[in-house]
Amino acid sequence: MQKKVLVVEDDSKMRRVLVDELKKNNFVVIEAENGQEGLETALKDQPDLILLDITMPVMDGLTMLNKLREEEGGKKVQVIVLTNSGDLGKIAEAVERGICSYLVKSDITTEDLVGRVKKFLE
Amino acid sequence: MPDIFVTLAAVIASITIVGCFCYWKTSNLKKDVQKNEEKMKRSMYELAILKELGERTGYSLNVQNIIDIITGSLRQFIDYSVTSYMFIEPEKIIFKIHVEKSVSREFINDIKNRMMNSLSALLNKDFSVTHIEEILSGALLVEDIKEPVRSFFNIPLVISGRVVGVLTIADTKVGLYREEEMSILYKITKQASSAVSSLQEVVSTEQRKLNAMMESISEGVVMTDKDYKIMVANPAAKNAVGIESKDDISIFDFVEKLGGKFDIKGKLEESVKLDKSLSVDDVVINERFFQIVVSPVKSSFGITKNEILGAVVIFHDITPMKEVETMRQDFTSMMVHELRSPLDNIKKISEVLLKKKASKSDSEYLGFVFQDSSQMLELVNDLLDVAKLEAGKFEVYKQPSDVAQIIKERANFFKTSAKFAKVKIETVFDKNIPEKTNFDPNRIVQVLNNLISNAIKFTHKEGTVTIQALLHKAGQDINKEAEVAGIKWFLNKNSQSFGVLGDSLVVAVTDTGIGLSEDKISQLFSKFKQFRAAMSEGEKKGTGLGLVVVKGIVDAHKGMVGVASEENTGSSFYFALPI
Repeated sequence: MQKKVLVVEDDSKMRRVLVDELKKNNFVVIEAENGQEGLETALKDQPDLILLDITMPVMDGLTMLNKLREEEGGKKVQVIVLTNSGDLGKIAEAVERGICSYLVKSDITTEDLVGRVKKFLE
Repeated sequence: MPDIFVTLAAVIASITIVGCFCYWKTSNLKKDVQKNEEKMKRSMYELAILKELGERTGYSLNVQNIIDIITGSLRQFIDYSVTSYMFIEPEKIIFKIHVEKSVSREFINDIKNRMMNSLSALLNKDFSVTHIEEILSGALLVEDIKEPVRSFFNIPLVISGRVVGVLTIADTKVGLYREEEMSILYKITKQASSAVSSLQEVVSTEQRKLNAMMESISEGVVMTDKDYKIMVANPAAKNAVGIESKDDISIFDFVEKLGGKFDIKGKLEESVKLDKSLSVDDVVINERFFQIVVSPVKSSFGITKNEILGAVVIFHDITPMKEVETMRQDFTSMMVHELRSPLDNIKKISEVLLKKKASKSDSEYLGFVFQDSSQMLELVNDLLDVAKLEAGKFEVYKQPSDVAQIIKERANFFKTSAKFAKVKIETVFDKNIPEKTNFDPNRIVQVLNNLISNAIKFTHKEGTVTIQALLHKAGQDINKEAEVAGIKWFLNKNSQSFGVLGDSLVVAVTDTGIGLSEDKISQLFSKFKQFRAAMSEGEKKGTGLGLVVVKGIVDAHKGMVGVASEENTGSSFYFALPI
């Protein structure tokens, strides 16, 4: 069965690249452009994994993550936070609590990223 | 014949005359020599006095101190029973007497009256009601000695044109104190007083300058003596802590106003006790930021040299610096979003496109886009990290991580760049390296990114970049361990750089590039020098800031970083993380 991945990213170009690459690798991909939208979509569509940006308008990724984990339907979904190394400090706590994994955007190729997603969903 | 006698007589006469003349001359000469000798002795004495004066007083402006030295030296060339001086102070007259040979109380009283009279005459003032503080030293007063004052000499003490007292010598013998000796005494007192006068002038000028400076500088300055009594507190210091301007300001005013923000008294005591400057940053007083420096003040010359005289506290207002710092931080986060994200997009998109089948020239152009965006992204990342390192905000989050996995991923990550530069990337792993070691994987990725991208840049076409990992056991020969593991690097037996290294994970990135000379190696990890080198050589190879970041990250792991190289053969950049 095809796995469902939600991409929450405000940068439309980055989102497009991610969505396309994931689709090419046989994932069902849904997208959202901020935390608010991401939270609603995640609860409604129940994805297997969320790729989550941190710095976004309306609602940032960290707020969305915390809200998601408060909801019954959002406790189990795997979350990979996509961050800039500058924002690492912000999510360190979330990572320590084990509520997400993370990848530093500029340190990873799209190929590696897709590879990671596959590994997570095995 | 008579001619001969005449001639002989003439010769004898001449000889006699010449002889007499010579004798006269010689005796004159003797007298001259004696006189000169005497003169020289006196000049030398004067010089000695003045020199002693300078040394012993240590340029102190204590006139009394100076007079003490003069009177103390007098007995070397003048006979006297008693030497004394009177010195006028605002509320009293100091009368200091040194008794060389015992005299009676009456003798002293006689001198005292004479001196009082001469002071009154000199200053045209009545001192009869002024309190006189008498300080007597030397031989005992003996009432049985009925000898009166028979010789007496009195010299006014003048400083800056003002009579400040009188100096006296007196004896029981008659006819002492020849005019000649007295002229020297005059000369000495005159020179001493003129020295003091000019010194006073210099000091008061300096004092005025210093005061003007203290009043006008923006730094708050508080000076205290040894007992932490405040000598000077300039307006800036009072403003800084918010003390109203008042005359008698004490250290407790500062203690009270500073409250728990800065223990001024404690720091003063600590600074004096340890004899060193203490600096405390970021003290917030009345919503402004201060750097406060406390230093001991030491005497710099004279016999009191190096003696601690007190301490000084400087309040340096760093609020503007803090504001600039905030602006820089804002700028930094602006860079993150406005520069880094789009660059990352360009890089990722070109990377995706590069994998597609395209015409030769298209893929070449895409390569350019990929390469340039990678370089710019690298630069932005380095700038951000260097800024963070400088601000001391560099944190590492250690977690059990798989170094081999990370290295493999890096090799893959740089495949496109390497292919473009026609450089091969290889990996070599020591079979002993543990599956997980404790370090910050993202930071180590950054370290590797920097080292690998440098290696690719500096390697000729068809060259090789090798990323290698090795487990080093404490006490083992690291070169032997490397040999066994099949690791190739430019470290040799002479490399002492590892020093005493405990159990460590050692990672090396070795290239077959242009190599580095000794003096270049020493400059590699310094930001300033890197910038300079990059500027002066006009290299396209980037700022070299990456290595500063590498060092920062490895230091934060308490590890060590180094480089070994052979010119025109290649370089190995390595780091060791303690495990």
